[in-house]
Amino acid sequence: MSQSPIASNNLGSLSKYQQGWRALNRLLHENKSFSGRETNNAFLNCGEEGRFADISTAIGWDFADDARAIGAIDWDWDGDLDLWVSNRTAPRIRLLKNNLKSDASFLGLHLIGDGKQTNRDGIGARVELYLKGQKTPLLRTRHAGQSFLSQSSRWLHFGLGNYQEIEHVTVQWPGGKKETFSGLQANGFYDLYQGRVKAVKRRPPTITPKQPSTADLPLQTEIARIIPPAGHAIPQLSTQSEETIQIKKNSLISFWSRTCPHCEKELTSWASEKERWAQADIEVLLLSTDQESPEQCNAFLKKLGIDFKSARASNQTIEIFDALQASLVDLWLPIPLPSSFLVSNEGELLAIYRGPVSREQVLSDLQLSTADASQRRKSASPFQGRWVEKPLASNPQRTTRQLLQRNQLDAAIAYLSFALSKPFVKGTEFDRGDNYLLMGQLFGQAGKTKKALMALKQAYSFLPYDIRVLRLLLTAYRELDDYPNAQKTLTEALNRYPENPDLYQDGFDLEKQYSHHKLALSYLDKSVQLEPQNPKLRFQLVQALLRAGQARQAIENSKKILRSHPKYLPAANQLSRIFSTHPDETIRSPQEALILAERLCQITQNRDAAHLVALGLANANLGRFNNAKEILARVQKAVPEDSLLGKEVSKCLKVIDQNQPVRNDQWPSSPE
Amino acid sequence: MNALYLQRVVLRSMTFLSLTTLASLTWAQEVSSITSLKDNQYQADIQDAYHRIDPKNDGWDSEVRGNQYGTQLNKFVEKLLHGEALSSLTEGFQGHQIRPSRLNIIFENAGMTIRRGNPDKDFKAIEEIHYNSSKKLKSKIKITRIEPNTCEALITFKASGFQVNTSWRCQWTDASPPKLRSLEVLEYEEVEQMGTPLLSEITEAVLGDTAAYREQLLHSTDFWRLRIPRDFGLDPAANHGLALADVNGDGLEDLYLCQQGGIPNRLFLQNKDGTMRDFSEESGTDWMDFCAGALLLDLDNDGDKDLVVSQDFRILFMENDGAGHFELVFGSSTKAQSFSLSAADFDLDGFVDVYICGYNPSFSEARAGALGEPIPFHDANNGGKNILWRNLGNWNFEDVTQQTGLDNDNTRFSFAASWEDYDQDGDLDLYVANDFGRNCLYQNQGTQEGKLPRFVNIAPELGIEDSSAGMSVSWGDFNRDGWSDLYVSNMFSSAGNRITYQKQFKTGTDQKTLETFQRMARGNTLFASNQKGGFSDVTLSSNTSMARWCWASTFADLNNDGWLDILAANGFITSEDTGDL
Repeated sequence: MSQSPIASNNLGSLSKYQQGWRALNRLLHENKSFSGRETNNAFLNCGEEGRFADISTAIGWDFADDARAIGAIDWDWDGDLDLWVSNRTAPRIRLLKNNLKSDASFLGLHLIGDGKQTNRDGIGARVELYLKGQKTPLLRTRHAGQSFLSQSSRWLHFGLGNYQEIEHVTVQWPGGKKETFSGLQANGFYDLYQGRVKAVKRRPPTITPKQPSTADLPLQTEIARIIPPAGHAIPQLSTQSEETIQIKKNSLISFWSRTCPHCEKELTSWASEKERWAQADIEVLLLSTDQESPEQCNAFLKKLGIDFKSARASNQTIEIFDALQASLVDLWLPIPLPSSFLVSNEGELLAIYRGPVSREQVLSDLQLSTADASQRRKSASPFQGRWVEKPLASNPQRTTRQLLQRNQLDAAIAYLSFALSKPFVKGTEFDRGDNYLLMGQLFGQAGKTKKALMALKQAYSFLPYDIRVLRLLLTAYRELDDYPNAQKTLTEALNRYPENPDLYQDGFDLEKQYSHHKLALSYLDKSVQLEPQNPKLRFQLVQALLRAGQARQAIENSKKILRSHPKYLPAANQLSRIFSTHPDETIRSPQEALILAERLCQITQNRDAAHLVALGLANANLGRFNNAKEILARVQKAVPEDSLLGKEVSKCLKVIDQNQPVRNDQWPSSPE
Repeated sequence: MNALYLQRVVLRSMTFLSLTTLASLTWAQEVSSITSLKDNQYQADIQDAYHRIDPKNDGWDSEVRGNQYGTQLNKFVEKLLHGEALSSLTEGFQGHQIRPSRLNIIFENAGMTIRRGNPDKDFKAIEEIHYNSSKKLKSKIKITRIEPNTCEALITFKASGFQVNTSWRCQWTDASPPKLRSLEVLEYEEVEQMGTPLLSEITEAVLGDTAAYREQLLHSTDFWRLRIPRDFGLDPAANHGLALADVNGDGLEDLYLCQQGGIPNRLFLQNKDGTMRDFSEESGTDWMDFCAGALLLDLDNDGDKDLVVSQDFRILFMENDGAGHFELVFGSSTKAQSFSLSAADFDLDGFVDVYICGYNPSFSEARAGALGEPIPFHDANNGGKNILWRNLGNWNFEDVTQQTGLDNDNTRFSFAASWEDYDQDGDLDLYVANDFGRNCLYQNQGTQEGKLPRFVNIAPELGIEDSSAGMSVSWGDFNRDGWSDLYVSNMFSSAGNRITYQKQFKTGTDQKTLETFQRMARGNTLFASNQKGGFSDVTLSSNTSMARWCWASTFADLNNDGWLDILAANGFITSEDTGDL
């Protein structure tokens, strides 16, 4: 796992760390184990000595389940605690009976509060049980909700060991007085009513003893029928010859292969019901995943007596349909063969069948095309029950993002455009603004800035105040060289979010692009004011200040960075270079430049080329040209000639070879 | 899309934007964090992260070495248990005899005997090392510490009704594969149970007649993860709880189970013969939304058990008519993905109040993954808020988190909480277990005339923040001194133990932070009350830390000897894939 950032303001490593988490999440989607097969633990309290012993296996508690909650209860009223456990894995629930055979005695107590001073359940009551001859009582508290997601029995269970005689029991009722109950006998169950002094003995019900019994788990299978929420569009289909397949009728799109016996079986069974298929309003489209010629493929189908429409699926289509499935469910297993997708004539996905499916099932699911969101949701689960949440329509973002994760940018764009163009939303509508935003972003990524702008304008109509939309609009205008609109958008955004440092950053980029250096600098300055502790941001300011001829402020800001972030080396490097190469003599400070450069090289053990260059420049500035040449020649050998640093070094060496100090002509010596 | 969801979307985007800095917005930058949208650069980073999940690729050469030690140790133990010659796995070996010659019986009760012994004083040559047993033993090995040429391991030999818990310190040669030079037995403990094991499963006999058990509960969460749309509220971690109480007043306790989104919660009523029947639909409690925790308790003091459910970003209060039919009477959205519930009458007004733990703060993050994104990992402060719902009577509930002081230190990833009057001053205090960092003990400052009590987090002062991945809280007087002690579930990570003790781990990090990381991998914690309102950490001396990736843990006197034992439920995610992370 990626190492965690130590402090939350350490943004550089944060993003890598976050990506680590996401990668982990993704591995879970992909069915990887993570601290799996761990067996449950039981620790036996060995008494006075205070040391426990691990008895998990010896007592039969070491199930390798992914266990979650535990509820303790004397289920069979035989005087010992039995256990309910819930699991993530199957079986999701277990009841473990305690077979204790012991001379040790017990007591069960049930508290009933008066419902006035004290709550009826007596929750929070503290119960002390005094055994004859024992100074310290046994202690229990009536809890409701302990441990993790668990509520154990309301009965307080006391093991009494070899003691038989109970002196008395005191109950400290929450909100009430402390009360003493006497006359209790070991090995019994008692109700303790608040204010009634006498404990009431309860006759336990007779429970038939249960024989040990563990259910056989159902066989694991990946065959599944998945019903998506309403309004889930399907992506475009293409064949190996790169033809696009248009869906105009209700269709069952079925992926198959000649090498797959289950496919053959399924196809043969469908072929035997040809008339029934024909009567139904549905077209079966067989997509072969094999690499052979269409003739071979058709010959094979003909041999089986199958005359459904058929084509060979392109690899991209297979990938895309795999993504479609993964966008619906939490567990991402590759689509098996055969797999079929039931699609309405409008291009809406109605069902996914992993593995073989019968004609009856398909035709019955076809009725989903007219079902509303709530009916769809009902069909998606084999169980019925009540919901609080209203049924949501499918959001095309899931599939789009799955496609993007598989580097299918064009398919993602095509998919999202199609989904956004379709009016088949029958449930609560998804957030269109968010989707147009994504659309705009994707067009931008694909280099289609004009289309991006159109999509973003749509997004703007849904989410006019969304800062993400405004920032991307600004980017689009900048790319299209539309300065007036870019400026207008920036102003609008700043009016709404005057404290957002990112926007000032955007302003800086915009004005810099149009060489409005003064304006650019003022944006950057504001951005730094809003995030004064951000060293990278301030460092950018330093560079802008230098370009604007404000070297003194640049120096001041560099020092500020080093005070708050002494390990931010680029600031020290820049400072050294200002001191050694600034054209203005009153700005230069040869000794400081040298000290800084030497320190930098020391810290990075002479391994950082940029720091070595700083050292060379500082030496040249002090007239130690031979030193400077030697150092820079070393760097020249180490860095590629055509790299930024390589070019810089060659340029500097030319000057130094003539025994001249280097001056940076990019930095005006006075403000413009 | 309801209003609540829209709020979350806004929250999400704001969070995202606060994370983007510096570089001006580019097309490839992620503008929404539902899942990863990426350009090539991003792709590379992700792959990098993937890559580094394997410790071998993250610069932990010692982990590679550790794997080799593990492999060799496994071979060694296999041969040992089969009585085969061991010398081929060793070189110049000297070591303790596996089973010390003198063992003391430290516990004997109800057919169970526990023996413990100090290792023998003398070292033996490899030919003399053996382990004799008439039982067919299986073994399990966990490497917990690695230093150059040395490792420490926890080793279990087990058979039905029998187990050996021992730990070894082993020295190895440089050879590949490494050979064992010495074996030092650090601890040795032997547990034997005569006759029937203490516990046996009877689920089928009790629930087998219900369709819900067969069709729903006999399938793993992963079965549903492949079938039911994820948007219904399915996540891989599957943290779903249970509650026991008598809901229809027949004196027999019933069982309520929380379930994934898309499959209903279940209420099983107990029959007179101890079997159960499904009453979910009739009871009106068959919620299909994702539910984590539930409590059955009398909220209106009318003598029956009402129901509270933590339902993802919601809390529901349902009234019982006395016969087990429930009606929804109060519901609210919560400020976080909700987990454990714990109830107590904190203001002593006769009505029981409910505290709900919050984990992920926003909808999208919860659904983007089971794990959330704690920042920083060892002391996360970007979690969701917990809420104290004060019961005003008449089915009115008020969020009093802020005014009672419980909003302090309230942005951690809370999994569980439990009330207890730990200081015996007559009011109930609250301990909260947080994932990824420090826990809280909110001391109840007591009721003053006309004012609600205030809480102060005194965990730092008492030294019981237990900086770790807190998952559960249980109170119980394990040492019988009349004061409640505290047991907290965490994660025991053998990899974490191995890595965090090495010099290479986070070089340049100060000792204190380093200890925090080491502590995170230690496992569960037992705090013993000092009888003065303080606690001491007795985890190591009590031998109660190693309960793996632990969720629920609870005190229970399993053998009625008067001493509270501890049960722990553990394991995160098991799949068919065996290359465990």
